[in-house]
Amino acid sequence: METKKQIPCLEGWFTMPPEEPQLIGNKCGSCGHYFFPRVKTCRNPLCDKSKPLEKVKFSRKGKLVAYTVNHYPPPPPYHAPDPFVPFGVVSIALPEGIRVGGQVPKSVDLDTLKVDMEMETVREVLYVDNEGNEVISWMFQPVKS
Amino acid sequence: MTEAAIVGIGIHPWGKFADKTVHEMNLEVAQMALKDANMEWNEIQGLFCGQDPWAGIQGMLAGNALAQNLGLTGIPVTNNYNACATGGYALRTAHLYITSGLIDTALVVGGSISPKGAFGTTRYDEFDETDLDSQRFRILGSANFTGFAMAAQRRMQQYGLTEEDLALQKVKASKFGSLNPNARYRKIYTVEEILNSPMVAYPLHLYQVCATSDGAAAVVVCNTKKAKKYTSKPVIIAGIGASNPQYPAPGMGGFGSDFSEVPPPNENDAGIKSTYKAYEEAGVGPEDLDVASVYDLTGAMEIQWYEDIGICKEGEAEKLLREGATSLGGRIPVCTDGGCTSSGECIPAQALAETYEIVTQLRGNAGDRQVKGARVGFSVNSGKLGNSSAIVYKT
Repeated sequence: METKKQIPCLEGWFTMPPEEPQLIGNKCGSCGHYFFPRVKTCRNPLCDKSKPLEKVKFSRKGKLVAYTVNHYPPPPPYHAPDPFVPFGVVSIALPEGIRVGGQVPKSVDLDTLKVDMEMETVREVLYVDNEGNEVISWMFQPVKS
Repeated sequence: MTEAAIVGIGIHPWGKFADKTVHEMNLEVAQMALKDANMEWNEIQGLFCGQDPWAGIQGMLAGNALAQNLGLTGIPVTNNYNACATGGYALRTAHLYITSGLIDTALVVGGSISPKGAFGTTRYDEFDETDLDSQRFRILGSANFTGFAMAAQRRMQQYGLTEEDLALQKVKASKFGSLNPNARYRKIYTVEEILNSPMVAYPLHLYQVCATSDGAAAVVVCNTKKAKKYTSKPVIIAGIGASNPQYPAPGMGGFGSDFSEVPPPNENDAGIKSTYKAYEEAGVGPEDLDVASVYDLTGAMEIQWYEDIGICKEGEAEKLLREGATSLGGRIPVCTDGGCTSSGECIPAQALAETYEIVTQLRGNAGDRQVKGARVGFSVNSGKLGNSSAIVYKT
């Protein structure tokens, strides 16, 4: 059988191998505010926008703000497996001062999630597309102590 | 200063009406509101109509379709969509037209035939990275209930909200809903039934997540100086606010179709701004309210609103609910029509359904769910991307 390709769910939103998993976004050269995903212009209304946006990779680790477990399949374009498997969703506060959402890998015991615990950015298979490619997304999992 | 009053109201029951179109429902409620106002359609000088996002171009031009059905009189027709605050923004615009002196009478309408199941998106390209709303479904697997569940989960950690509290809110809402002939669900639930219903997204069970509903509601607004011609019980719009979030925007990262946010001082920033704008304009505070309607898409949201509109202090909302202060006979009954909890949500009509209930209460026409002697009412909502509106009503 042909080797399956791994493709990012969206190009340029996060690093792909061989780099370690990191989200990619912008830092405003003028006001220093961070944005994910990338923006066309700084979104801070008080910024003079005199300096260009810089492309940045975000810290891999952050703190858990909130979590839930989806027991019902979200509507399309979510690719829900049949039979459906519940999955964890989290909001993470990154040291750059923003919160980012992500799924939790299937391997994580969802009962172990706790607010304020340290989480890290990982890459996981989100779904397999019609051509058999593995579509990869960023996800967040507890940092193993 | 010119004031505006509500002199007519109309509503269609909330539910699923596969054999109807939004335009038929809009027409029904418009005629009902006009009749209630003892007003002829050709006396209306401006039509303000919520857009139905699920009904194509004709849904985007729902006001024009309604004007055609009622008979084209050449008046300005304003169509708007501001998510859950659509009806509130429409009413806000009508209010400005009247208080500015431009027109004396306005008809405000909103209706929708909603999709079944969770609200999704109307069209999408899976690889369009600028369509963040579609991407939140595809990548995060985040339906609306996902974000609601996370907010509830966080409140559990912060303030000790319990699953039993969430069930209590549903019990309260279902008691009100049982007394409202237009509610979709009329059954009174027990805590046990609610906690035994399937889990949707922890900690929210099926009976605690609002359904998607079809519905429509209409309001006739009039310069208060002319209101007596139409009704003996005008309800004055004493204060009205419509707001959107201020950067840094609210949210928890990807759950309102934006993938990341800078944490704001309060996540319901726009809802609070709308509320206090309306209070200020009306010259009232939360202690003056006799009856209120908040946006209870989940029990956790209703509980959060208690604090956001100031009827209790931060961290005391659970106590307010447990004491029964927001139930019938309590200090400040909330969502007396059963709210979204008992009817589900019909996005472009929901804010006007809130207005319908508060006007019914202030007229003293709410039957078995009547709040005795209600003179000052309030309704507020907040939705996708922070669209929000709030209204203070007085007799």
